[in-house]
Amino acid sequence: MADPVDSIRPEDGMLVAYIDGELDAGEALALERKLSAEPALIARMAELRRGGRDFGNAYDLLLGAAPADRLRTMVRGLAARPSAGRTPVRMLAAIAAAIVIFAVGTAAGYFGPRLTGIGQQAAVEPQPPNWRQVVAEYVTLTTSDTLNAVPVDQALLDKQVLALSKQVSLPITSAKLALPHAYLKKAEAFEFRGRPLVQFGYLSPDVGPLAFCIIVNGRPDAAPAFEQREGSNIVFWTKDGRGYMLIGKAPRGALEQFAGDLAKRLT
Amino acid sequence: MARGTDDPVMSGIEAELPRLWRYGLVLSGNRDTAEELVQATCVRAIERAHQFMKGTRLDRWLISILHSIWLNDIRARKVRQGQGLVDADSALIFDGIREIEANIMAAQVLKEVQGLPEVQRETVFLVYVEGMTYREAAQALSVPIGTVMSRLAAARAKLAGLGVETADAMEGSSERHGRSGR
Repeated sequence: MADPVDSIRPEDGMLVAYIDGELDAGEALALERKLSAEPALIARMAELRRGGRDFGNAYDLLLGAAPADRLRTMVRGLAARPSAGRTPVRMLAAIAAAIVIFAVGTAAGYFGPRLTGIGQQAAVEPQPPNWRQVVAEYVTLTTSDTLNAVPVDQALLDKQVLALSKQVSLPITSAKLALPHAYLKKAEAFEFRGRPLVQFGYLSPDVGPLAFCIIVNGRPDAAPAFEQREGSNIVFWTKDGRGYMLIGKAPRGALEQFAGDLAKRLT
Repeated sequence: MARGTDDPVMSGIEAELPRLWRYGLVLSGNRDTAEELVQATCVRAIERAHQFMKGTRLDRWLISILHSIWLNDIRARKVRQGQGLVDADSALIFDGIREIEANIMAAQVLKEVQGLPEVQRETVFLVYVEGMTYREAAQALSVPIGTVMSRLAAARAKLAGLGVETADAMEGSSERHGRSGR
């Protein structure tokens, strides 16, 4: 965001810093010498002084309007939550610890190098992170700009989707992954603690990035459920030994609708 | 296992809640969003309590977190969802706050500052209300110190052109408030 500073003059910053006592002794002395030689500068400083207000007292009146009781109850509730299972720790270290990334190369079926260095260091974390937490943290790194920058070659994307479908032994196609008002931009293969994990990245003009992930985890079936992690909404379920999650900033209702559509098409 | 009170984040966070809410209100212009910001800030601070350096100021750390959440998450979401941002010229967010309604001078100051562009408003707030040094404000906002200076200069230039009578009345009382951290 560009700062709207058209109205200021080059020396204004120094004058304000002088008014605020932010200049060191040498800088202040130099400015005072300049001021004594330039009456226009003195006039400008007087004008900037007039832009001062009793800000502190005015804003202190707002403190009394804070919903103090509600905020206190909220924070005590957070403090009482079990700490296990919500330990994102350092985001990148946790991601590297849990996921060994295989970049899907320009030719489907080519996989890049493993990122093992940081993973070994972070492998001593006492609590293995939940896979959805790790994905959620990874997704927080993705912005609309990230996905906008990904050029879409539909034929290549189709091939990548096909390669990933083999990873999770499901008949997935680009058509089956289609979501309303969202464009499929990426298909990536990962591993989470030795288990195949695939992620399909979408960009929606309405709600920004969305990600649909499938992990082969051998867990018992579980009906779709909703949760929030790292500021994102998540719908997740388990079917036939595979965990599924759809994550993004879309409102819960829309996300549940999308997840239902995907589940019907893939199972 | 609940966190113990020897955790400096947990033991200090409650005292900071009203000021965090106020900063959330200054940024968002909306009381509900301010509350949402405080909650998200607390969640992140508790999760990342191990990153807080003992001996440094908890309030500064929390303010940086809140600012980051505002910029990268909540503000971005509002823009994406087409909700736009509050019309900062509106001082309606202060309606119903008795202390302000009873203090015409304070109401005028709040209205004027809320009418500034967001980046100027938040810089004025952090330096002149929260008492941050330029360096602290620059760190909290992730901008160079020169940007803090130019934002304050632009804000003062604009405020100088407004409510001259008010400014004259307040001349000499524009020093920073609550600057205890220098």
